Amino acid sequence: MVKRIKNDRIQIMKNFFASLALALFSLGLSAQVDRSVQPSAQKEKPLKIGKAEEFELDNGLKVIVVTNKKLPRVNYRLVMNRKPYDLGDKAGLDELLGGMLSEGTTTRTKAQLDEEIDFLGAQINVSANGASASGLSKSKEPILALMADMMLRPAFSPESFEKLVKQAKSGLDAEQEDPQAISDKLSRSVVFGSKHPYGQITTSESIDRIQLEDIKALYARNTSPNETYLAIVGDISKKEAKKLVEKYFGNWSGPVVEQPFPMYTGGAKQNTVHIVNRESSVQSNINITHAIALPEETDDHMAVRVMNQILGGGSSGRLFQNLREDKAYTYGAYSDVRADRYGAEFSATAEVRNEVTDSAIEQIMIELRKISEEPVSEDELRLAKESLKGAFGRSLENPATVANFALNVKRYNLAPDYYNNYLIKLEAITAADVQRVAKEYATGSGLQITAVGKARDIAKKLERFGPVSYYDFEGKPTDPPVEFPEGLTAEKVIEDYLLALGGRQKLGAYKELKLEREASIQGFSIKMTDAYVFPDKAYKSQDLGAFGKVEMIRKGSEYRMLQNGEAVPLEDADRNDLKNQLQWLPEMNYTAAQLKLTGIQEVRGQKAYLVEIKTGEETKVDFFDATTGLKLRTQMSETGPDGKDMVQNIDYLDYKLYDGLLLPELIAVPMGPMNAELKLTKASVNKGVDRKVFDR
Amino acid sequence: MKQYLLPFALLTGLSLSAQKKAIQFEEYTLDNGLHVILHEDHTTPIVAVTVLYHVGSKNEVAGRTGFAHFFEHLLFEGSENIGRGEYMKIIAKTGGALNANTTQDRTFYYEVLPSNQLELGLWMESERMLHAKINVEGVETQREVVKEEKRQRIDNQPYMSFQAKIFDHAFPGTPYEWVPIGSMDDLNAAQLSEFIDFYKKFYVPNNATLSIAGDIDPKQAKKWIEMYFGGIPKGAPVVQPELSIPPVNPGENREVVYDNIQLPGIFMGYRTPGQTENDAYAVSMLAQVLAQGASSRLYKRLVDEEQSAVTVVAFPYQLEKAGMLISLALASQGHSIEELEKSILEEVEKLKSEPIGEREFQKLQNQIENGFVSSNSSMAGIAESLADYHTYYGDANLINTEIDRYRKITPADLQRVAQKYFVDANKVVLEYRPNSEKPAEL
Repeated sequence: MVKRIKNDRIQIMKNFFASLALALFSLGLSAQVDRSVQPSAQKEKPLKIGKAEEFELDNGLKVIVVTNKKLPRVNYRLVMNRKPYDLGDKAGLDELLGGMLSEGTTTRTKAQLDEEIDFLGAQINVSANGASASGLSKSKEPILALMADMMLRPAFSPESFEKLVKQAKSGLDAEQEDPQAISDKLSRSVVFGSKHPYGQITTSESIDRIQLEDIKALYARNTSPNETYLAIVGDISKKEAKKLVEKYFGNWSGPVVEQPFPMYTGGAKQNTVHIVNRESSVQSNINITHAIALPEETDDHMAVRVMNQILGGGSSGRLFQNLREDKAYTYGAYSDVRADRYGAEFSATAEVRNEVTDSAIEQIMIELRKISEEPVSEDELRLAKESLKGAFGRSLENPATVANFALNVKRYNLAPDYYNNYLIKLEAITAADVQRVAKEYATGSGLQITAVGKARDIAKKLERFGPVSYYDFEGKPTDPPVEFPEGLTAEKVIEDYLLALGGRQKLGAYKELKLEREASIQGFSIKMTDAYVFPDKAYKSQDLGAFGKVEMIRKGSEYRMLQNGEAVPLEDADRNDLKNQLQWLPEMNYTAAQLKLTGIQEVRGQKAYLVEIKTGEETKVDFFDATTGLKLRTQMSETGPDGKDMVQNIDYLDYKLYDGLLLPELIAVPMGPMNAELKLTKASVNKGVDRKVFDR
Repeated sequence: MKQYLLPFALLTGLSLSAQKKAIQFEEYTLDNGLHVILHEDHTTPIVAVTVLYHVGSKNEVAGRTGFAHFFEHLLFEGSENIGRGEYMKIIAKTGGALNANTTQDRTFYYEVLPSNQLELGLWMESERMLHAKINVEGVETQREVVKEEKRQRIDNQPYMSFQAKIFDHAFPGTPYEWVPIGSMDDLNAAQLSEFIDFYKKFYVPNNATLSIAGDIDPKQAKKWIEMYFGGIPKGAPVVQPELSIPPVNPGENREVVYDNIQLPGIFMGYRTPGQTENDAYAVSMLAQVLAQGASSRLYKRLVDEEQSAVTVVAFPYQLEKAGMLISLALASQGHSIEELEKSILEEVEKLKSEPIGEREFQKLQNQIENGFVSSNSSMAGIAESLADYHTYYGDANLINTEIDRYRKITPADLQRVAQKYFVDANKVVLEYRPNSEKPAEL
């Protein structure tokens, strides 16, 4: 015993010195912490889901109240449960209606309305399908009164309509350059198509088709307490809420709303690739998506949530871990499954730098295959469930969550205890469930792989994922973009043409020039003469024999036109036209602002660059040989009497040297089924111009 | 007596409920300099664990812009006791959420956890502070990730180069000249050894604030805090840079930017004082006058009346040592930058020449009250505000009293502040024009 006591004391002394030494040398690094072990959780606290109270007005408006006095605030949310509108070719009508509801009421101008809302320090937002408002609870009555006024008594003034149309079109202009907006339009368009409301894309044209009457009509058939909910959250009792809602929405009446739209389940059978070319992109916005049959109330919804969490629900998801943490392709990669009885969709998205676009798609496809072909590990399943459970718990911090739960139960016909059983149902999901729903909803029958990016850098490598088609920024199909050689500009094409003719310096040094051409059409002969004394004298004549003769003359700043020898009176437009026609080589004087490189096409077997040239109101397209630089064709289009565009080509053939100057021997003008061919019969360089013609 | 007291108590109770309840908190400093703030609230069983390091892009040196933010990414790579890639997974497995962000002035890390995981959160943050693992693999991966972040948020977005440009023009020769995302070249140049030095210099307890809000038992929390953070060695004192801001050279404060846009836009900045100054509160109110709500002066005039803009925004971009009032407007179809600029300038001049009216002033007060009540409605928000107020103002209790600083501002103050700061020598203008308007370079 004694011995033991002594030993114990020694032990204590040792411990004392040990801890002293540790304290001295590790500067107090607390000895009792074993940092290598992750701390375990304390006892879990149960989640309490707050209570929502409900009542219904005589007109059918269903009201949900969640009283929460933590902050002196109140929040209103009006939801009209409506099917998506088939707006046909008037996409954007619902958004314009929403806008019009903020433009004043029958009792308040827009300025008065804005001033009253701002004075309360409140926020009120209205849309075609509802409204939301929030502010201090001391203003709970005026806020609801204003919201009701906006919703129930809109002014619908033509001036506001005009303003909103203009704003909407400007907004669409801005979206043209926003890669995310383009990507959304593209995927909606390819997933749902223009027959489905979700695939109807708002464009300037669709906005132009909308009349104020359309907005009033939509409002009349849509705005109704039928199938409508008002959720009220905050420092307000049910009794107060009832009094206020009766007062401001009690007299509201409206039609019975139409029956739901059929569920859309997609139709694609194979994987396809859809690209919007955005020349300035330094990243590709990738979305791998397709329509699925997943109404909100389906039993699979919970398993789908778990599957999505594992695949791409956040920073611990497979997509993020693979594409960001392992490959560093992106700042973030995620997946999403949107349940919707009218058109649900799966999507996997990432923004990645151009050069890894195909590799990123490849990796996403690998992850989709993997999650539908192999069961997930117990560890991943656990992680996903805990993440979802944690998110559910965190969401309860916001008092509006309880109101949203009550609203969802009603809107989607969920079981009344859906949210009370949420965690139990979550816990019951197995790895087999995850694999089954992955197969059914994530991989599906035909994935639409969409990319907004620089087609030149990415498109070729995407061909291996499926047939490729191209769209414009509004999701409308277009031709594949033209791939111009690096560094090629319209100005360069013009310079190359001038170079092929001998270069600016040599061309500018000519003193005079006379060109005579002849053609014969069905026995009639045509003679054309061009004469120039540089820099400022020009003469052109077209002699059609019995049909008459036209002459155009420039002498310095003076322009004239003769028909059969008689002067034709000229207006300003005619004079400008003459100015253009009487230039020998207008290419010498083009400015960059007039020119645009628009395409590559073959002309008579030669690859040609197309340059669009604007001169005043006139636009023409010249085609230049990609190899020789020479001009092969001029194309002009005019709107014909039937409203259709008529294209007129002028072709230049058989360039030959005439006194050192390259000129086309033939100019061909297709006229209906036949060609008028003008042959160069005589070219006089630096000689032969009779000065008298300029005085005719 | 009780019968008389009861209605009185009810009355005071009622009048109190019309006010925001004060946010209770306690704060103390550990021996190693770590400042701790605790706020207890049992409404929901969650807790926000946050650490604010007083280091941001203004602590960077020229040639290494973007360093502080790049470093923030590295601190999710793991530690001595947390394997690479495990940081996010561990938090996810508890059902928690995490993230971080970097500004010019500070770097902020947070986790929102189920409240029974507080100890885990403290362990994770203390691992990050004590011995984060910084290696080549992490640096090379995150270098590419950060570059993708820059492409996604800025380079691939119309107009978004404006931030870097407006700061570049407003604060030349100071660390506010660049923005936290930095430049691609500097991101490419950053070396592993520099990150390790940066960690040793700035990620020390005496440069950090641990702010915790939520369902906690403060006694237990303090015990764990001492256990996990108490032993982390103190670092050398961190000296914050003093900025001396030279006046903008008039005539050189304007840039025309050709961008991939359809609608021309104007971005106008006036340099204003640092956020802790009284005048900064006036600047923030002037921004409200200009563009908060549809009845604000610029919105009403440009969007509703003249219809020259699709959108107009004015916001105070306030930093520790300086700030900027940034106004921006995008032109409607057929309207020009010149029209927008003229109208904005006229409204700015009006702020200087006329005191603001009584009703409009009352509107500002009401908007401020609403904002004050609505802010700090989440535990993460409260923890962050407490840490910010402590770090920048040395007074965490501003979370309850900041509204008084606004209330001290008079209409005369607003006019004086507008006159003082909204002058050409403080002004930067960026004209954003579509590429199609770019003059040709033949």
